[in-house]
Amino acid sequence: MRHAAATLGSGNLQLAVVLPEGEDLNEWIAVNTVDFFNQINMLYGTISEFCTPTKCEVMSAGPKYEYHWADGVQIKKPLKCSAPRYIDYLMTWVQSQLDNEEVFPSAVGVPFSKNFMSIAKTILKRLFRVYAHIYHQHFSDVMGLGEEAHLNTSFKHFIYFVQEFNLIDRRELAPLQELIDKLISRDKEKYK
Amino acid sequence: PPLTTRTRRVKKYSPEAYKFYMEQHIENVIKGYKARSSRRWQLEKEMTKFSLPDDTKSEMRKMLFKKESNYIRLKRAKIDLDMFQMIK
Repeated sequence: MRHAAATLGSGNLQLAVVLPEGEDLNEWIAVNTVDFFNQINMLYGTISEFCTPTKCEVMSAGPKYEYHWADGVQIKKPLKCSAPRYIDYLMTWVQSQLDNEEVFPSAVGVPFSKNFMSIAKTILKRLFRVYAHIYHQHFSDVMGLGEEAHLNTSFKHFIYFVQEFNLIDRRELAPLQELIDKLISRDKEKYK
Repeated sequence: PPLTTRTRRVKKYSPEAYKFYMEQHIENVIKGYKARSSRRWQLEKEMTKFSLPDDTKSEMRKMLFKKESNYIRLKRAKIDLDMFQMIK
């Protein structure tokens, strides 16, 4: 992958993802998850016209990885569908989780549910797939819109965050592992 | 259930809007991190200046942590119309 060139000129994002002293872990995971969802939602919204059922017949991340949709509730048997449909299911599902007060309580003082962390992990695992699809199938579209620095920075922040708290299995990250190594090693040079 | 065009939740965004949002957002992430660290550091400095007893110090720290935590929760909460009661 040759894409990991430009990022936004900013400070060290790796320090910014660390759990602040005295902060509740769930609260920290929640606020960041919402932010990443908004970023990915907007990003995909800028390239959605290029991601059509004919151009992206399946939800893929390069030739080696293909995803089938199942949410375990409405769709139990993994459904092979086009990328735009898959991403539609995915974003709708994530939105419904974020809107669920039992999972993401918004009133001060209401505690998180016991299964919050496992839901957050599933959300982040699925959001990663949208990044993976965009990098593999739509990077030239992203370049055409001049968004590559923004995407790289968004993705790098996401990766620092999920790595800091071990939120996504290494196996799941495989479609973009090369890019991840590249983005991180460049930062190591910059902030050593 | 099949997703129709009507139920599609993916909205179009202009690249300019996305880029502007990202530039602001990353700047705010870095600023927010620095500001939070500095509030924490400021509290320690003040408490040392007034040589507060240890248990008072720990109470003050807890209060700051609570405020910080509530603040990020409020940042996450969306405001919509049904949160307001119509008076007139």
